[in-house]
Amino acid sequence: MKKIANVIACIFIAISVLFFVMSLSFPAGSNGAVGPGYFPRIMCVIVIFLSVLELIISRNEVIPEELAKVTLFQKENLRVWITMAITLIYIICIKQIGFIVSSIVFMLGTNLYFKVPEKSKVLTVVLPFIVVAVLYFIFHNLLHVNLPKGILF
Amino acid sequence: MKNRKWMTLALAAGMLGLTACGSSSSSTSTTAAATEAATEAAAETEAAADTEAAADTEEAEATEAAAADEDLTPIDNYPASTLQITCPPAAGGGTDVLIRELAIYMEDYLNVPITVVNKSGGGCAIGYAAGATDPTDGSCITVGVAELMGLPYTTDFEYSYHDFEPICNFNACYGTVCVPADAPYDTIEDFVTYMKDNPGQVRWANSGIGGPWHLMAGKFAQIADVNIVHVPYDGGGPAAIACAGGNVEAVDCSDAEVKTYVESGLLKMLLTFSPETLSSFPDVPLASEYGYEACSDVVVFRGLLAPAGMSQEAKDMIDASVRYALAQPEVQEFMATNAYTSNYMDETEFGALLDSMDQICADMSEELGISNN
Amino acid sequence: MGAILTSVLQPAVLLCTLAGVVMGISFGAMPGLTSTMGVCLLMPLTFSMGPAEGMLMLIGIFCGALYGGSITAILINTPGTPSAAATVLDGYPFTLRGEAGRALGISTLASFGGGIISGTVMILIAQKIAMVSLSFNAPESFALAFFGLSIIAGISGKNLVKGLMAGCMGIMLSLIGIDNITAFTRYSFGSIYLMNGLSFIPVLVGLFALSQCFITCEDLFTERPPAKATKNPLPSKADLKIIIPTIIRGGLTGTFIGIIPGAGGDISAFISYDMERRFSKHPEKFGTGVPEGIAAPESSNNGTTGGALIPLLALGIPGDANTAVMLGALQMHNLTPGPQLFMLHVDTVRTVFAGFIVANIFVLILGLAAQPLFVKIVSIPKRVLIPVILVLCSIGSFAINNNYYDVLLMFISGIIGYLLTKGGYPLSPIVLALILGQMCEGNLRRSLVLSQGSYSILFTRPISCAFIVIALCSLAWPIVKGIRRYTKKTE
Repeated sequence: MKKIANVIACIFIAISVLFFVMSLSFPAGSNGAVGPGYFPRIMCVIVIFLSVLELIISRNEVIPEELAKVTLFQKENLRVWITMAITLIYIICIKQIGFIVSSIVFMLGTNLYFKVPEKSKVLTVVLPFIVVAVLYFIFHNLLHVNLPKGILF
Repeated sequence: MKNRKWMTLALAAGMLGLTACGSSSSSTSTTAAATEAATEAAAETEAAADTEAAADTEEAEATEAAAADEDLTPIDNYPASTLQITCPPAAGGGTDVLIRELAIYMEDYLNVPITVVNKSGGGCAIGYAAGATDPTDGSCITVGVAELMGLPYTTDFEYSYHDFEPICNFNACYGTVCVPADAPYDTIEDFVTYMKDNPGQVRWANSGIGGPWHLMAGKFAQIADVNIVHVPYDGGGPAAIACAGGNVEAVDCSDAEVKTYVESGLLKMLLTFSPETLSSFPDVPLASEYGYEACSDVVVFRGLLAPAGMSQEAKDMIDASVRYALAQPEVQEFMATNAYTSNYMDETEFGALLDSMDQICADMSEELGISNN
Repeated sequence: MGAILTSVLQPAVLLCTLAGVVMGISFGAMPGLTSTMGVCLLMPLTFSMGPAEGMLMLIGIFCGALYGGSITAILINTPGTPSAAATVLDGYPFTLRGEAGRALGISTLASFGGGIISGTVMILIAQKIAMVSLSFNAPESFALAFFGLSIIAGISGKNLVKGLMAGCMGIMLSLIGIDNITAFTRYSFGSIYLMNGLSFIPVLVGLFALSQCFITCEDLFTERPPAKATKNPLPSKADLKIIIPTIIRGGLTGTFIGIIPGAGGDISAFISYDMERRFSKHPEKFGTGVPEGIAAPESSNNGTTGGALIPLLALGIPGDANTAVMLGALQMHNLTPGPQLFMLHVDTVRTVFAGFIVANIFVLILGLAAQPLFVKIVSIPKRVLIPVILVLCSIGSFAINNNYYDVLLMFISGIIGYLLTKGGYPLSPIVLALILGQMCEGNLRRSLVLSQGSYSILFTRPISCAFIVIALCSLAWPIVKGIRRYTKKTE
């Protein structure tokens, strides 16, 4: 966990430096008010200061065992990354293929992947259709949201 | 155990279904309307039904008369098979509600299915960027609102109203000048004198930086030759509250937005930029009486815009469909109860309004120091 | 009194209120759907109703949605509405312990209590305190936002530095988009999709709901302890003893914040949570699932309902988006809010008052009655639930603006939320900062325009001065404490 936290702190520093540099080209304020770059600059400085502080403190910080074990790229994290990838593909498909088809396929696929559930095969197959039908009804018929249609519905 | 699981599902589905039935007759599409949409809706309806009632009837009669002269029987030769109307303001707002009502009747006239699609966000920039690049075969048009005019001058927005062609305008409202009720001046002349005596001391609230009312205040100050401090708020409502609470010396916004405060004695209205007397405030003098009629070119309008290059024939058909819709008693009643003024303008008038407003936006964005260029 | 009762106890009025509450709870419980959306959606429907029926339906949605948000916050660690973001902190730990039923009972009672308190305040002194909202301008709004931001320290959990880092990052992100004071576009990287800033709801849904899905994926096959619906859905006597004072404080705080234009349930929930933690005898237990941690934000966000109605009815000032729509609904029926409403349309005002109380009673009854049903959600296996939540998150983020980019924003926020959680960074400070950052910055600069550059405007006005002083003290205290702890440790 310490490693992850430190990497995030470094990313924070990088973003702050970027934002700070960008804010230098912002116009000055008028009518006595501070300009649009004033507040962002203060925030950047604070974030950089705190990030450095965090990096220093964490060097001799004692982390409880169950937290120290937190990992990102181990075997048990594999499922998370795969789920993320599937979700990303699903989100892209919503636009290209359409909401109804991609949602049903996505839910069937994740149900299979998650081995849902051992007891009832019917539920695995029927549930996606019910959920999509209910959502489609709420959003399309009730809220009049034009759900992405894509090439198939 | 299995049964219970099913029961839960069925119950949940039933609950959702019930919810849905309760409101399926709703006519507007409402996605989570952002605050702006809701406040806009409120501003729209803020005036009571009697606002401009007289003007409305007159207007309506005029429209009807025009309708009688011309054949407005529904057509069946619209060049495209569908019509999509892009609405840049958020769903549930005043513009959205009105265009959806009109679309029902425009559909009757054009005989093609019409869908209204909200593409909100980015201060309407997202919607106009989409609308400007739509195909020109008559299948897509965009709702034009006043926000479009300032965008190319104050932001990096690469499109402007030149990427569109006007079709017609169906609703508009004009600004007013209000000051706190306990202010030591009762007429616009006294107020101008006061501003001249106190240069740079008078704080003037507006509904948002670069917005129509901000530009109008700038134009007003230019004509009156006074030096004021513009204080931008996040919407007409907060600006009016700031003035009602005595935190600023003046505010300019539509009469609907200040109606409750004027009536409850917190604000007094010194001037209206409407070309005609306001029926809700008949005693308020008109801008033309004091030589400020140039400010009347800043109008919060709602019209239809076609992507540049659309055939004249299709534009005329859409124009006719709007007149057809405005002549329907249902639409007239809807507009009256919701305090929408029916200011129909044809292509030429609407185009002229856009041109003069564009000029003001160009001048004022420079003058007020908010220009991007 | 009898007249008021008969006006409310008509079947049509009761039915409309009930329908509103049911819809409100459903909307509130679904991530991505908010009370504002529900109120906007039903506004056209109320045109055809009488003024009382229409108003009460909208009030029903308003109250119901604020309660509904807590259900998903407690059960699946995902605030259904922004107002429930503070409830997550102590609500979800209850579910992890298998005490979801107890938590829901507390939340239901707190919501009801907060609503009733604010309703009572509204009925008794609406006209007298409505003027407070007029004295709130840019300096006061800045001070309130600043005070709100000072809470970041309080909700950072064990790691103060990380919490402050996340909070300041949130403030920076909230500044993306067109600047309200100079019209300059900041950090949009040339994209029109960033011109109005990050859409808040997709970020919220991503940070909480999506990242929670990812975290759950890690131990997909170990099930949570089975949640039992408590036999008596009401909180136990021991709980009641703890939460009743909390509810009263939360309800009053919520009412006050509701009166202020531009501040709503999301802000008040965080402020109440922080206050409760500060005055508690065991502040270190907050965040691990204590009853006060649910009761404070829930009573407070429901308290804003009555508070927001005070300036609406008495002055015609809408305090937030919900009441702005209600203002429209009132005027649709030729009722102009303001002092004259109380004189000319006393009946309507009384019906609205009585209906408000009835709506809150419905919240209580429905909440308690449906509690076993809600608890069932927890017993659905995670593997079944996660795909459904993923679909709901995607479609909910899309529906807010009909904008496909919001779905991508939601997805990116989800990954960021997951990584931050892994690194031990708390998410609540980011959400709080996103809510308040722009309000704080914009109003500070607006105040300076008003005072023509003089910072004294912030201290010469009593309300703003008081808020700033409290905020500075509450910011300084944990930092002093933290430094002392650190130096002690190293010695």
